Amino acid sequence: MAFLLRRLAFYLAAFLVAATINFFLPRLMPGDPIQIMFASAGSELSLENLNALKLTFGFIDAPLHEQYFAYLQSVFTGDLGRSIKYFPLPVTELLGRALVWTVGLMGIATVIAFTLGSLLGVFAAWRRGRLIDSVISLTAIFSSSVPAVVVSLIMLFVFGYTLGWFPNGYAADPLIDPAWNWEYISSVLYHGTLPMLTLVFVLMGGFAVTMRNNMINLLGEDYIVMARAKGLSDNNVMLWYAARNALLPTVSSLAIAIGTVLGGSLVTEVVFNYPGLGNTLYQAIIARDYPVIQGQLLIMTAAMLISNFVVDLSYVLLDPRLKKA
Amino acid sequence: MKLFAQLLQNKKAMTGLVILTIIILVAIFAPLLTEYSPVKRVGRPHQAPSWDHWMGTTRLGHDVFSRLVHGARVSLAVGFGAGLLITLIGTVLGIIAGYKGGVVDEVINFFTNMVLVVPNLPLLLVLAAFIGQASPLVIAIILGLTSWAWGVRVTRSETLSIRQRDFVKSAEMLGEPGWRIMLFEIFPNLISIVGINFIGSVIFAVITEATLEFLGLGDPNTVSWGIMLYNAQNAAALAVGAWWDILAPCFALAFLGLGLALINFAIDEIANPRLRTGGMLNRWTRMVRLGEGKL
Amino acid sequence: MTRTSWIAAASVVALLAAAPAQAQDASGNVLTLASEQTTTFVRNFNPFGQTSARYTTLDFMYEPLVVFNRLKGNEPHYRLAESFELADDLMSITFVLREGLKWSDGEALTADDVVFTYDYIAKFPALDFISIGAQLESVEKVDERTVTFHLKEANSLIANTIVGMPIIPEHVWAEIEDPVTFANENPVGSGPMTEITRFTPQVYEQCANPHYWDADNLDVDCLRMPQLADNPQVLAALADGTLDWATSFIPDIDNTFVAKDPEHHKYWFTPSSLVSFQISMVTPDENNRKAFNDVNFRRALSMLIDRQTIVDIAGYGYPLVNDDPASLGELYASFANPEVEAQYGQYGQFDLEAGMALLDESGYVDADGDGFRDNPDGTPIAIDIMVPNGWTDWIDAVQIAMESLSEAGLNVKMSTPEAAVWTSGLIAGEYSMTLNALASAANPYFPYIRSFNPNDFGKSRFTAPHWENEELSALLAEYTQIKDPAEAKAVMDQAQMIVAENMPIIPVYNSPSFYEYNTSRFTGWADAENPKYSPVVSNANPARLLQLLDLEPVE
Repeated sequence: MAFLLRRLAFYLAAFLVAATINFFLPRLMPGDPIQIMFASAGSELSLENLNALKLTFGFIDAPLHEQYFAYLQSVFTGDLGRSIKYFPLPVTELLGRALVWTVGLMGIATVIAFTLGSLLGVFAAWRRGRLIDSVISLTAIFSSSVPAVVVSLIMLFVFGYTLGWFPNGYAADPLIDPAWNWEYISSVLYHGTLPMLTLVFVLMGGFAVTMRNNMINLLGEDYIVMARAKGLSDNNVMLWYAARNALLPTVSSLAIAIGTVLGGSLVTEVVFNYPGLGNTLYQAIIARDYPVIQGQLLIMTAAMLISNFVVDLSYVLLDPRLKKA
Repeated sequence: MKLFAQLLQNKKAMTGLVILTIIILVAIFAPLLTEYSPVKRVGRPHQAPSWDHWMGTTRLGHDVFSRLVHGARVSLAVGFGAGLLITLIGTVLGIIAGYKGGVVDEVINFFTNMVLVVPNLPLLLVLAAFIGQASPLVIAIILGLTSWAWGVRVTRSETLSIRQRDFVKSAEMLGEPGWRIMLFEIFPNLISIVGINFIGSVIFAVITEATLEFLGLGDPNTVSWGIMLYNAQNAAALAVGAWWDILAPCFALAFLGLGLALINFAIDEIANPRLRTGGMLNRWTRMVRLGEGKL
Repeated sequence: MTRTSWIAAASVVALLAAAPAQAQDASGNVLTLASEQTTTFVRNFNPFGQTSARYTTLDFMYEPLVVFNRLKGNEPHYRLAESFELADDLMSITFVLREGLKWSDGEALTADDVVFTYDYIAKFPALDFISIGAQLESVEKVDERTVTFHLKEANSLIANTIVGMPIIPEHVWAEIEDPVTFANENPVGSGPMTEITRFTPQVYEQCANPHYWDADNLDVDCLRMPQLADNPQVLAALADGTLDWATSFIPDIDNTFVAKDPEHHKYWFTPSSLVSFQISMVTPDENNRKAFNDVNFRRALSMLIDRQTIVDIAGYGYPLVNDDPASLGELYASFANPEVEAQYGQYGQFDLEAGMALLDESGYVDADGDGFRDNPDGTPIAIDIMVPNGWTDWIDAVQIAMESLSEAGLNVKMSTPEAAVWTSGLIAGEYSMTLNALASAANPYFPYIRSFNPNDFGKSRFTAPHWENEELSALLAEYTQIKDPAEAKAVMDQAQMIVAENMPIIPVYNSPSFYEYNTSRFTGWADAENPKYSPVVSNANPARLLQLLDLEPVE
């Protein structure tokens, strides 16, 4: 219990620090968003437009500490302001739309990669020394050392452009209305296949290797020998005795993985033009859409903190040794 | 050193080292491998691979092969430079935290956890965007300064377990100063961890540099594999069918990644013999059956 | 199962996030177009929102008083107004509205709405995106259909500016408390397409105005705008025939677009904004400043720029070379002064030898033996060409230019700061050399006054060179006070000679206005054989309204 409380206190402190950094970051940046919009619109906007824009977005000149407290207040009440590029859409709504796609894509990809990777790792560990172990290990090494951007581009090239089996962008066919019917859902699945495969490939390797190593470290343990001596089937021992215990450290790596997930899907989303959080952040950075950049960094940090806390919680539940602390 | 000798015997390590050596040699001897300058227009835009241009030309008419071999220099430099910085910071902080314990440990831990909690790539993205045209040197520095946290954790936990060993205790009782113990007693036992950490950091740095440049946050004046991807993407290479423009840097990056990862896996295997695969495992298993160590 | 339920959840959220779905669906003659690139549609049809409103708001939803046809010497096409007249003293202009005009909700459109609009923007200056308020003394309602604008200063070109302000309905906007953040989700408009029948973040449809005054001329029932995030996505939609009308950069267009359906896939690029190399007369580096303020140095630079290659490679051949020393080029051909070409034409031509010779003659030789040319007094010249990060076609153009500049012995390099930093640098004159773009306009008066007006130094990036000329300023001031076209031409001719003689900016090319279209569902498109007006469907071209009215469905 004390353990949990200490962690909670830490997370709150971390969040506060993140919010503060978040506040100062855009103010340290050169240039302001009005100038960017002005510059990005090419020569379409004139001097006259500029003045009108400045008035519209009202860049306040209040003293810094006042701005800071107002900012903190708005953060804790969930008001992340309005996007500049998509004015007057609130940041929360913009991120909400993107969140669905990222959670869907990344969430599912991570789950599949974790399951697949772990199973492969378990299998490789169980059959170590044989050919299948070498094959799995080498494939895992390879998939985790190739940049996601490379895998995405190659997938896009082979399956998107050359073979034309899958579409080259979007979450779904834009001319189909979002609805709970097969037409839309199948379009979503169809469009999501390539990015999903890319992400699974990239993530799988890490999980497989970790699981394999953990398993191997456990295999010599007495309780495994005991289980085998009892006459339990290979699979039974593999899954219910070895794997279950190897799971613990893997779960903690899962929490770290969520951070990688949020970042790792970014390039894939950009390459496949998938309207997820990563793509949104990228577009916001290019457009210097401060409210969106700030909001997103904050939300990502919060997500990391929460997932870390959940892992801590599960640790306490899974590992009886910690319950006492 | 014993580790190195074992490394040479390991098939994976050998393959990895060979790959790495090829790439390093290509980078060093780049100007000798091609007659074309990587930044001059030497052909028509988007020419397909031919005898004149082994890997074709880019949108601007630059020779792709020339850019590839010259680009290896930057990609390797940033990879190893940033990797070194990350490992250095991570190891030093990790050893200090693990050895000293107490307040020092708490403080270092706090900052480490803080840094770990912020998602890496988005933060780098924002930083790189703020800086504007991030030259490879700048990219290496910001990579180094933001990515050391994982290394600290790993190093620290290893240090903690070594710390309790007899030879450390005896050194303390003999009155050796702390820094000597950390440097000469503890550090040598961490070599394989540090090695893995280093190679892992290099892989991470190479991947991240390529990603940042691909997203357009690098310096377009540089010749590196990431910038090649960026140029190809902007020239809509895939859409217009100029596959060589984008696949050349892709394969180069994959190749380098593979080499490094093989070395890394091998180090892990050597450090922990039970992780070995294939022939190496059989050899070791035989040794165990003859009476040494736990299977 | 997991995957499907996730997708289902996603669909539900997307549904909830979007506006309530409309019952009716788009039917009849539907024109699919793409006039903006964005990752998601926000339901904002506020005609004053220059960067936040949907790009089909102006012109299609809120019809202008008059549309001036730039391709036919500024010929007026009367829309909401049936006529206008400039007073003899040029201090006022009177517009007469047509009879029987109605808003899309059936209410009458009268002079009251016009007066209301101008009072409104005076009350909320943030809405005045063309800065018309500063030029007006007052707006007077003469009768139900007639409005007179009284100007603060005589201005012969005022009509062009006034028509840029959309007219809004008083009965709707009088009650809006904060028009700046008002999203105008259910707009009441005066143009041909005012009814929003479907709106989701991925697509929206805008259908015909039931009370449109010119309905007889309109054959399109609905506009459909699919969400497209960038050029490759637009290309994909064009290539597979989904889009009828678009305005995007397409690489290698003959192969990637036309080839997919040569009979129906067409394009026509017309020259638009001017892209030119500019050097700062007030650059911080003193040594550079000496060179930059010497007209011979500027002329030599101009002769060292290979415009054709830049157009061919960096621009895929789409832009139009501009080698006019007076920087007007083809775009303003009807205003051109032939003397300019005769006397200064050679300074706009790419000629490596001549450029180097001019540098030699003027004393710019390598004085200290470092391989680079220096000032006549021996001090070094180091040029840093600055372009915004990410603007790849400009970066390519600069790299090509650097090749010939280096060959001529000049010390040049390129830097690519963030667009905001670049803009601030230009505004302050704190740069050495850059590429800059200037919007095209109806009359060469506008580019000249925007670029060379000392009153605008430090306010916008268009005065980046910080170059001024007293005689030129006097001529430009005179220009707007003249009513007689012959007199005006004489003044403009003289202005051109001054600019050409001094070459304060080095024109390179006129960017193309992109215009791609598909003739399989609609015909009546403007093209090279029939350049009736500019058919570009972008937000900055009111003539797109004329194109919409000319379209007829293929039977």
